[in-house]
Amino acid sequence: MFNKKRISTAILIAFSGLAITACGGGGSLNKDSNNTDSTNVVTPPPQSDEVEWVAGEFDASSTFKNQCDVPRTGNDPYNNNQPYPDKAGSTLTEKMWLRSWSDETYLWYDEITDKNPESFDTVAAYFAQLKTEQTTDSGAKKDNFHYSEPTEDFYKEAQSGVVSGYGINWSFISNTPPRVLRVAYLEDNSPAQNAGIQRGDTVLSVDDVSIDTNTQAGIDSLNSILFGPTAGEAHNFRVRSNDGTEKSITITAGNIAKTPVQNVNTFTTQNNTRVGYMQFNSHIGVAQEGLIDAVNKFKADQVDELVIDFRYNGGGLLAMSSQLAYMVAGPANTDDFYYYQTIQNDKLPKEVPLPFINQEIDYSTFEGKQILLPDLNLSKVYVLSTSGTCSASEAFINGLKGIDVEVVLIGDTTCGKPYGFTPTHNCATTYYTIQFSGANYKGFGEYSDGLTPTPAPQFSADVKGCPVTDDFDHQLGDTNEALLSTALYHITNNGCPEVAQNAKQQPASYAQSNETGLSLEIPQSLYNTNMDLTWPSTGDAND
Amino acid sequence: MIKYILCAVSAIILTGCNSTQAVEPQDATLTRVNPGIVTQLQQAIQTAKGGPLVTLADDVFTKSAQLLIDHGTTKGPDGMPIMGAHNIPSEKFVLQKSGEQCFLFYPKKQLSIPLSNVECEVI
Repeated sequence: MFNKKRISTAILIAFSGLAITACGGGGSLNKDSNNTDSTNVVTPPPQSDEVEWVAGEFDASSTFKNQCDVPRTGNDPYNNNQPYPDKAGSTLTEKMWLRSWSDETYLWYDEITDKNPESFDTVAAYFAQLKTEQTTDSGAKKDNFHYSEPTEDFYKEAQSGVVSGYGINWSFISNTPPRVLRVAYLEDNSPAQNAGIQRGDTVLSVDDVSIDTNTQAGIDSLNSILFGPTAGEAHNFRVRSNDGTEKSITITAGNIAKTPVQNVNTFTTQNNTRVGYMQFNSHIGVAQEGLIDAVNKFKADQVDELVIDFRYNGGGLLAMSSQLAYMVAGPANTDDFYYYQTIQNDKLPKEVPLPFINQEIDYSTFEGKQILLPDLNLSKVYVLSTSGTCSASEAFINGLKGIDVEVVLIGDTTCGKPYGFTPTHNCATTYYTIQFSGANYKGFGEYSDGLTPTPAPQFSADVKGCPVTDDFDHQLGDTNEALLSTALYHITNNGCPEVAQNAKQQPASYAQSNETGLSLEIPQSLYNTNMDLTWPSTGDAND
Repeated sequence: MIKYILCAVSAIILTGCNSTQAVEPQDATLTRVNPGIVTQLQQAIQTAKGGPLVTLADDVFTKSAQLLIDHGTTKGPDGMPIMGAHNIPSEKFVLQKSGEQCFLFYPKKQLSIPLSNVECEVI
């Protein structure tokens, strides 16, 4: 069943000019990322005093590229020590580049109000409003994904799946006093796991600083110890376990390898249904082997049903989600269909769809390794979800629904991010503006309010399933854990348990949080923290 | 006579194969790792691909001969990785052993960097 044509297409997608690549070309992270404009018109750099905004008229973005108010000098360590491309410009030329680039590539470019760039004090302020202000059906902002960061931060690198910290993935139940910070899951063989920390443990204090501290010094200590420890640092954690006991544990931080696939197991229900379960945390290159091993185990165990726990999977490699979808559904269900169609604005060419990828991939080149993936040939899969289930994980759900593989969603509404970017660099800043959405084989991709589990789907983004709140009182993979137990109940009874209908309630033990108290900082970089979870959104960064 | 020549040729071929196998680098893992070895690996990676030092796991190359290096994925205000659906390639390095020498191999440039005072074993 080896399908060379299909894989060739997949590879083509991976290296196509825009698609889902990070910087305008799959393999060009270091070399060409400063030259990724969709328009390649060669135009002499303008003099700042020649630049003029005329409403509704747009010069090519290349006209203003690398014309910086504060041009960098010297050589770029992230680009083979080549000289920086920056030339003398102004804040106006930077704004004009943003304006033209947005007009060329933004998915909803015709919904941007073309305001005079000179009426904005900063480049950042101007960029912040270069997006649609329309709302979704739920009233939420249509575009909640409009970012920029220093280019230097973009280029930070680490071993795939390595984070500095204790190996704890936290969940903020409440970020202001009375704060509730619980352990969501642990990396295998991490310092925290080896020290006896468990999912559900609630932090009471760290190095004798109360979790409810409301002084700036205390907050600084918590932020530093919890989210920014240096490898080798040892700190004392006082936590309350699920059984109510308190424990004091000293943990030494390290550079920890993440375990993207965990708790692979096969259960047998009372009516002898064999159910495979795995927790899949992140679509990173090193996950491929774990996914294949898991599917091989399920195949050997001859599972009848499969539960994939995506609740903390914020996405990653889209090709990997396609591989997993193939491994679940198999060739009989996926042949002759595609997995994901990129949708760009009407100024850009239509991309070749991403197929269901049926072989292993070398993620350093995106070339197929000519090794066929195992498959389970299932026509139904259970997915466990929370608001932390995002992007490539949502694409998995939507991609399978597009070929009528039944997806039963158990948990909470997913994050709602069917969009993507081509990070583009200009004047030491990397910009992210929504440039494409992704649709399944049936053409559906509008789930910006998330995919919602419901016993009785009514709307396009509804998915058959059961709404259930994440259950920190049980370990992941425990058949008594609320989401997994609901999935097992559904497998047996083809419906939701009664309690699941009303299960989305905050645990009574959590007092109302004090919204006026100091908040812990939300870490922004995966590689500077061991945080890897969602938390209550604080609104648009540009508000 | 022909039989004799065939045997001789076969012997030469086999010798050649054996000789090649002895020096052919093979994938390996570290038998021990410490901060000094991690630093040496970081510097070798920097030599191979440029850029600043990258963060490596405390147990790098102890479970696998292959090392993938990813870009840091910044999170948005929603706490999710900004690049939640991407096709960003990783940089790949492989730990290899040839004879008693351990190397860091960078396939992209077909570059082998010898490592000193590093113990590794073929897997």
